[in-house]
Amino acid sequence: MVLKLKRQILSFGREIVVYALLMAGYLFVILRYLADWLHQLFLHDRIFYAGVALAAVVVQGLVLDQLTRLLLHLVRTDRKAGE
Amino acid sequence: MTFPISGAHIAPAALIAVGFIVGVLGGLFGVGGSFLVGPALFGFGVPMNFVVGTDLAHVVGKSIVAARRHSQLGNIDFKLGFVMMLGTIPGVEAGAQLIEYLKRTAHVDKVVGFTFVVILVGMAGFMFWEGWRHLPFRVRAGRLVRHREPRAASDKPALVAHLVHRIQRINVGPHLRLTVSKIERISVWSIIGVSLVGGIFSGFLGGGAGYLRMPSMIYLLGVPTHVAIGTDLFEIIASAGYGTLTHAIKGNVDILIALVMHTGAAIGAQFGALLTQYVSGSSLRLAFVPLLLLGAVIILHGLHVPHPASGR
Repeated sequence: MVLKLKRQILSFGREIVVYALLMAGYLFVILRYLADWLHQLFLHDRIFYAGVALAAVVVQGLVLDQLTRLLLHLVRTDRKAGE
Repeated sequence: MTFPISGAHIAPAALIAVGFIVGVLGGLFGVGGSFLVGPALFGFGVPMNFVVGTDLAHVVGKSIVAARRHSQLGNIDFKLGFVMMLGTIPGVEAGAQLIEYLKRTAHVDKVVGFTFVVILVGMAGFMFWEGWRHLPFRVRAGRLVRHREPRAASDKPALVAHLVHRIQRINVGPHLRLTVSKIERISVWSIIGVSLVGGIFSGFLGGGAGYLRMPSMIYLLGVPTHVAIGTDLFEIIASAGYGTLTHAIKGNVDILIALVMHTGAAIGAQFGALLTQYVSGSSLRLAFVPLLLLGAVIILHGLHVPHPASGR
């Protein structure tokens, strides 16, 4: 039980590190390059901004879900190989 | 850093942390958590109208992922979900219009803030009652005693069963048969009424209003808990999606904040799912009570000190 928990926490830790690196890169792009464009859109074309906002959050939701599945798959495969 | 759309100064790490906590709640209970986003964003200095719109946008991303999982498990009553949308979408618009009215009268922070406090304190009380009721022990004569037969989570008090029966017998047509929810006959108007109220709260306070719609679906319409969770998530995609559009057009959505927060939620959801294997739901419900009360305190504090981004 304790060993299982340890393994899971370790796997989760690895997943978090990979996630953190990917997210840092992603946020850098979003906040540095998209922030101004989105702000201008917010000021000048509210309807287009609304569409882009909804699309962005939907796409991010789906992409993060796929990414999480992929990472979990890799971590599990890695764990099975280690057993 | 400054988020130019709402003008709020927030560290992205703080947003990710809030998203993480919300994600953990979602992973643990299937729904919920977005009620904590409001107090957190308001505490960070985001104007209340942006708090509402941004919370709705953040909920869309979260619900899509969760609804996909529930769909695979067969937990979604699509017929019920589509009928609910007929009530929720007008409700969301009504809530958004109310925000616009309050923006014009410059009372948006106070009215939304105090409504939030009432909801958070009410939820804290309900979660405490629910969590305590299902704990496997009781305090008797100052000692912890093992409680032999903890009631199952699906147990409904007699009054609730009576209420469900009365609502399902409302004889105003058209009526529906909901196979997935195991409801033989129910008036469409009962469903629309419940979803309309949920929609108004969603458009007015942000988030999916699961704190209101979930108990209503279970205790008023008689939908089984697992189907209520799945259907609520499915329905939130449409209602929060519409809410995001209408609030964004009205200038109430800072999509950058929503996107940053959502990255934390994705990780939190995994952690929450992992935690369910080791911690019982009742203990967790009790653990989240202080968090809700803290949210209420943050909002009350925010209402009594000058807000950093007020006047936007």
